[in-house]
Amino acid sequence: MKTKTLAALLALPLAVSTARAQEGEPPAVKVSGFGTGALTWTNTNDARFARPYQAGGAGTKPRTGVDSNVGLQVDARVNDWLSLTGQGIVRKLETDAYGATGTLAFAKAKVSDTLAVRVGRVPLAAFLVSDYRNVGYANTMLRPSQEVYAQVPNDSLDGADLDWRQEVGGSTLTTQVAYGRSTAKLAGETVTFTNARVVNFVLEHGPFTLRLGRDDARMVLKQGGIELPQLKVSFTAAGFAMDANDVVVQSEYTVARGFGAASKGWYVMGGYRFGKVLPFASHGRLTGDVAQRTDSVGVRWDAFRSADIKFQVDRVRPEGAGLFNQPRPGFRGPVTVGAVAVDFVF
Amino acid sequence: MHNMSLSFVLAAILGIALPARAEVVVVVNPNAPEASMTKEEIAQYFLGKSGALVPIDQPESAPIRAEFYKKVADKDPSQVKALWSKLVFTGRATMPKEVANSADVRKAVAANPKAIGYIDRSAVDATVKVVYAAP
Repeated sequence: MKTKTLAALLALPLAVSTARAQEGEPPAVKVSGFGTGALTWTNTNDARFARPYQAGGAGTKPRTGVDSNVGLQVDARVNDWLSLTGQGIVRKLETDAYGATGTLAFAKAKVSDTLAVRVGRVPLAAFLVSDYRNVGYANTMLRPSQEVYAQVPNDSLDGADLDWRQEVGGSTLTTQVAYGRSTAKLAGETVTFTNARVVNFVLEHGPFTLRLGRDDARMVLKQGGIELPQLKVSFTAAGFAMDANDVVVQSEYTVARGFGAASKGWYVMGGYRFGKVLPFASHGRLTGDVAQRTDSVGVRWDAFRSADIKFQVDRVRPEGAGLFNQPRPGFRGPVTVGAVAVDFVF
Repeated sequence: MHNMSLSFVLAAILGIALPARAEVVVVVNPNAPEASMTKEEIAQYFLGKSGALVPIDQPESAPIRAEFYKKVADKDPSQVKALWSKLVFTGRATMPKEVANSADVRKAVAANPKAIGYIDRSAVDATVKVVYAAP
């Protein structure tokens, strides 16, 4: 999305609030944001380490572009049942320069205490942390598992979604249904999902979360101006998370079908909270046409009231080039990746 | 059973030995149907897992806020903030409304039959109903 459109989008709720202020009512507009300032480096210049589908990437020289971003969100309450939300994120993605993307722009109708319907640009919640993977502060790890999250690069869906919450014997079952289309501009390609249908079941019981999700869509891939034939694709995901008695666990198993061999990805992350310091370790694996394994250790330190400091080291073992960019002839893993980050919310 | 009576005795001794501390109680509107609530029920409103009642929060700098979340949800302020940032930045919920102190929470709860708040016991009066007292 063009920066101008984004600015207009973010200004819309402000305009609404001004209109309301003129009626003598208090403005119900909230501006909030999140961001990460990070440095990322590796032990080789034979290939570039990047987040999925980013152009560029880091080599031995520490770079900010891999893991840094900043997001701004405006929420405007129109009345008891209607609200508007706009969100934009600045990060490096399709080019090796920071650019803005409009990630959310929807109207939300609260039909009842348990049912909400949103129309517009809504999050594409394919996997467990898909819809907040850009919010470092909301996550334990410095970046989501590359092996799983490379499978669906798109962040948002233009269409509608529905969120229905039920109490089931002391647990909460949330059913999310979404329909629409989604386009992501990525390094060297544009990925569009049309006729995308998303169904997720999220069961929460105290500190435990169990999630099952399924997305079906037709995918159109444009590479260098050439449109490849449409493909029927599907993503299936099972996820588990817990945060109990200072033990933090997060794990997912995902299958992407449609392009060549089915691509399967999974990761397990475990950590233990010592007050404000949360060390963690993770193992992730991707199999299929692109294959890679990563072992990570890191620590999240909640050093400030609205900011944390993270440090993470990954040992990445790609098969061939794996998910690395610009591999030079003869490039072979494993690659050690280091990163330090400050995540904040406001 | 032995352990239980021992902890009662200990609690009594500690209660006498310690200087008077702020006691956190959870209050709702007198017209709300609930007579009492469990801490799990209360936590779901303050962690954005249920929209049936409207939570009223105290300022981040208020000690009662940290005490409330620790005792009711067993969470530190940063854990609570991380949870809310998931909900806020996916557009699923907005942060609870914050007011200045216990007296203002009481006013907000008294004015809204669907509101729920936590206040110092000393701030309780007939305009609100206590549904939970933190141990």
